[in-house]
Amino acid sequence: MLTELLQALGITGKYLFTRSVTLRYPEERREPYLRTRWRHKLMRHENGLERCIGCSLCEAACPARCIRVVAEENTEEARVSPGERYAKEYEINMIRCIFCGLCQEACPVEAIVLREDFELADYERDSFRFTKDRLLEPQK
Amino acid sequence: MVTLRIDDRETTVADGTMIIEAARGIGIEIPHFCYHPKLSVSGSCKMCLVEVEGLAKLVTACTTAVSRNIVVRTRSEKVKEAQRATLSMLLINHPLDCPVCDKGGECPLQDYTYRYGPGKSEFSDEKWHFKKPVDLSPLIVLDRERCILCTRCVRFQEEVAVHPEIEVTERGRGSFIEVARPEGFTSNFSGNTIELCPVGALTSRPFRFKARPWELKRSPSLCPHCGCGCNIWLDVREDKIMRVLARENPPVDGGWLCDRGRFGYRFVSHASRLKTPLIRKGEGFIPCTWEEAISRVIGGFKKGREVYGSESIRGLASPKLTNEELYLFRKFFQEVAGTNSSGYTLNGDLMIESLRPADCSGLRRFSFQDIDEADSIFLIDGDPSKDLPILDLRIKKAVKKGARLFIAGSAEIELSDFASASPIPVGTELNSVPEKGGKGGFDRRFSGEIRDSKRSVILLGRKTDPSEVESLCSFLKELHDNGGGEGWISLGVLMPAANTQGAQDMLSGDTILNSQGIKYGVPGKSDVPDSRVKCLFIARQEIPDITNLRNHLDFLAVYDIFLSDTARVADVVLPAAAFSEIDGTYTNSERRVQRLFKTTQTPGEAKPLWEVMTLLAKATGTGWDFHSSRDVMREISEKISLYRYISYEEIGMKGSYADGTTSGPRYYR
Repeated sequence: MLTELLQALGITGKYLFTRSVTLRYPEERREPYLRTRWRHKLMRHENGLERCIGCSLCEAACPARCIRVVAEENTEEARVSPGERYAKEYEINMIRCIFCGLCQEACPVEAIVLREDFELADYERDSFRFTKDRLLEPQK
Repeated sequence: MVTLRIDDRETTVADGTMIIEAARGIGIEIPHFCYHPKLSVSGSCKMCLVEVEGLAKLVTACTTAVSRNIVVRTRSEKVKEAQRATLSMLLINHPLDCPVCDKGGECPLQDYTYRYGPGKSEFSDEKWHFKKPVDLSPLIVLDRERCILCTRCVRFQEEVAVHPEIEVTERGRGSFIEVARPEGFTSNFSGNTIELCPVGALTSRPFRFKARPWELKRSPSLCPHCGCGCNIWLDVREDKIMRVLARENPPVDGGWLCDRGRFGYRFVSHASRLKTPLIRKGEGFIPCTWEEAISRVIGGFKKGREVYGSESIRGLASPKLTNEELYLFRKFFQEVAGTNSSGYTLNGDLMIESLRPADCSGLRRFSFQDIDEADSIFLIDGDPSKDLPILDLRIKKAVKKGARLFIAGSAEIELSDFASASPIPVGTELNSVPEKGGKGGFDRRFSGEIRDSKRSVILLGRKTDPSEVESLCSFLKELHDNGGGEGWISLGVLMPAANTQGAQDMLSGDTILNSQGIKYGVPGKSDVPDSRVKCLFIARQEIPDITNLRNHLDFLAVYDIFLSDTARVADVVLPAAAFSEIDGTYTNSERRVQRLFKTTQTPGEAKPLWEVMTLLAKATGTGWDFHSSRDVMREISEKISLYRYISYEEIGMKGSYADGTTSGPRYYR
């Protein structure tokens, strides 16, 4: 009985002398993994045009049904994306999202991607509705 | 009859049946693009290749007729190889833009490629590129890259619409679909080509990029634009109608839809729809609650009755309203307001009085299908292409089959090109020759033509002079009784609005109002001066010279979906529900009662008219107990003997004639 207790304390004691794995977040931060899947971004092409073509395949793939896309036709005067079609509205309900990444997988033009921003907490429910202007990568 | 085996299953079909149809009969799918059951055979896509035992080569199932004891294989290795090859060929120049294509998700080419395709392309060169999209018309967009030249659209325009405006130009690999006429693609039925197109080559301009097929909720409905009552699907996204598709009900629409029905839906979700009741304040209106509006209307009626008597109160309803709404409309004016004057109007045209069954007993009551069997068709002062477009297709089909078409009227109509030489030249002032047959001596000039035929259809248009109808009926009856067989003459009236027939039935014949000029009155007593009417309730109707009428009125209430010119001069404006926002029934031109279903929400506080009428009745202390349009229909079937067999359960999805039958001849009694 006593020997077992000492054995256990021995294991505990051993860890006193190993390196700590805990980070003191938020003061200390860790480099995110390369393929970490957090907040979405809508990407742009090199020339500044939006990648998204408003095809709604992400919406179809989403198991949480948290994406909403409304498409519109490009005109020569006001071109938003290459090709005929672009997303006029693009919304993600971040409360519903389960960050599974299926939207990213479904996207035929690599427009919607999940990236490293994970600090999504907020006080207002409404602020979890990520509209296109919040998701879109800023113009370079 | 021929017996054959398809994929180890035996089936017996009529001689001359194509293999593809025989297979479809026993539920075996043979993939196809150019074949369509309602169009002629083309055999151009080579998708439906099947193996017939004993034949060295594969044959196309859409062009090969069955023969006795043949053995057909649709899924053998040889067939699968051919299907892969065909799809590879079709996809050589087909762009892979399914994600942005409106057909994507409901595309036969996409589906077959998944099911039967090779899975990869061996074509490594650059695909053909064309300018895209090309507008064929303001409604239809062509994408040449996607077209597989199945020619369904061309064949539809040529064979069904009989308006060949598009064609295949050039030859071989350079061929493409093009508008053939300088006036453009103007056909009334052009929208059907969108639905026929098995790829995304022809797509709808109004629907362009509005939604993907899987986002749409599909609900059954009826077209509200004319008296045909074509069955439609409403595809709704986020409570907005995104598009309208044909819902096949063969005796009514034959599975087609005219462009007015297919593209006339955007008014429902228009931003300027009325959302709250309005009451007049000075020159303008202020929004108010339903309670205020209702008490204002009741107040107006009460004052009118006290000052001028109950005859000064009148209701005027539109034949766009459902039977349920119209029934309660009349019930309110009869029972509550105590006036016998409720009626309906017809966009400036005098509605001819419904045929009195007694005048034409024994004649066949017109059903759309009578046209298919007729060998002579007479159009009197009517233009189906404008008023009931889908009948236009039926008539053309009958003419192609050999029926003779005679047109009597004061103007050329679209169908004139299909007519046989008419004994009465078009443009003749018909009414100038009063004869006993009516219509300028219809008996003398047409009786020979009618006698010569075995089955005759006579259709009266909306411009027919009501005073001549009676003599016309008795003439036809005489002809009929002397001729062969029961019901060989079919007689009908082309009712232009969605529920003109229903309005007639619900408001029962004796109170038809004429909105021509300012005279409102009962036919026969049409000289009753309108100045007696002091309080008017207009439901969903625009009155041409409303300001003139307004000067005579003390009180005007208007129920409508928009703030029309008529509503603008009203004291109270009530917001109305549109066709997709109500449960109810329409009675079409052949007196088929069909269902409307509530599919979208009413904007703001708009209400269906039956609800408004119930509120009005309640406000006067009359205890009406209607909680749904179903309750109203229950009372209609009790009170209106014509509709005694009608109930929502009975009508089902395909509708039923008011007498409870769904097919077969009906007679005037």
